[in-house]
Amino acid sequence: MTTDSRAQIIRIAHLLEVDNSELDFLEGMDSGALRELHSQIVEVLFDTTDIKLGSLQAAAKILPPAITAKVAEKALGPVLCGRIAGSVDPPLAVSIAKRLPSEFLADVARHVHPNQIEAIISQLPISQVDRAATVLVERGDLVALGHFSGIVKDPTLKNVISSLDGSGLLDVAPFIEPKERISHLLALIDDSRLLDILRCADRDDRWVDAFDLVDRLDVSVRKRIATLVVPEIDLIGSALRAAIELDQWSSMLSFAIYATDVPQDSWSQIEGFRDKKLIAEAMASVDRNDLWDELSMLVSLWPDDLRKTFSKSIKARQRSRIGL
Amino acid sequence: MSPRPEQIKQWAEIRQRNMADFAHEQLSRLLRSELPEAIRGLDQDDAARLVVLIETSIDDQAAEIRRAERDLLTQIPLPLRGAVKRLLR
Repeated sequence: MTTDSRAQIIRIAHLLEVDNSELDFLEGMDSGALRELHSQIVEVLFDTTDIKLGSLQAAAKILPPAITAKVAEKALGPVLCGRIAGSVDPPLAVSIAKRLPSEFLADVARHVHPNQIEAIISQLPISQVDRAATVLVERGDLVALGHFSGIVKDPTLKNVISSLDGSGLLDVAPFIEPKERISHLLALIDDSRLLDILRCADRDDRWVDAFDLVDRLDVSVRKRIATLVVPEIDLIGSALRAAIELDQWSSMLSFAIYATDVPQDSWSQIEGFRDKKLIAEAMASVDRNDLWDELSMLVSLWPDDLRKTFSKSIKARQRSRIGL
Repeated sequence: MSPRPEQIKQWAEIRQRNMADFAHEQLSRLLRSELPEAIRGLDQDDAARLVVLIETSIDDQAAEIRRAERDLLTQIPLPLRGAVKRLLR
């Protein structure tokens, strides 16, 4: 099962407030279908048509905000606050939220409809949102943190990133929704931290998570990763071996082909591309997954010496497929 | 004449398919939308289990709302309670 599929099952379990194991029967299902199922359940659970919202809102309007905040915290509780937050007038919701403690806001963040509360979050003081984010980081609440990271402004997002190490970022990445948002998050971090994430994947044997992360990135971030990683001989060597071992050669190629700006001798130093056994396994994967075009693009980036060596290690039929 | 073994097998398959269809229909109705292809592939037990989990969550939420409505007034200062009570009616 992919990291993305696993994350989607955890998100559904979180939404239904059941143990992950209760959804074991969803294992092996495509992450796209699980993501769609999650959205469908969200729409049902967040449908506030039957809730006496009109009267609750009217009550909130006649009460001083401080009392409404107390009512929200003590009577409604985090689940209900999260469910109805998006349906309350944003200015009223903001005036209530400003008076709520960070811990409670972090509790509410577990239960909000991310698409509905962006307007509220964007109007809260950054310091308050930061404190709520810190609570989520301290709790290791990956699902809430993932949703939260999808809607907060960049300064808060930067604080969240700086409070997580490489391993923490690999943990939270699969939960960041919408999934395109992860590219934005990685664009906010510097090169050394980006390399840290991959070094952590190598050190902790988490290449499966790293490849899953790469698969979610847009071209500009893939290009940045490729430019950084290819000259790191040990790291790219490990990634190469892991890609073959995990049959993630397509993920590997999906960023390596963007390493157009690395010095040519960096490619020549990657031992894996001269290892006949490794090459045979890579070629089998290319054949199995029809990755000939991508491999052609990769080989076109190499210096002549590596192309010649590689050419000798593969079959004539394979050479002609990649124009060698 | 008693049914042939292949007929019994065929009927069992039809029964199983109908039951699965029922669970999927229930799930689709509950979610108010067409099910993703992969979810339609769930067997009847699993589709039914998913229905129960979602229904339980909806019921829990409804109970939570009822509790909140009851608790709400206790958090409001006495002089304002009457006005809020009228609004919640």
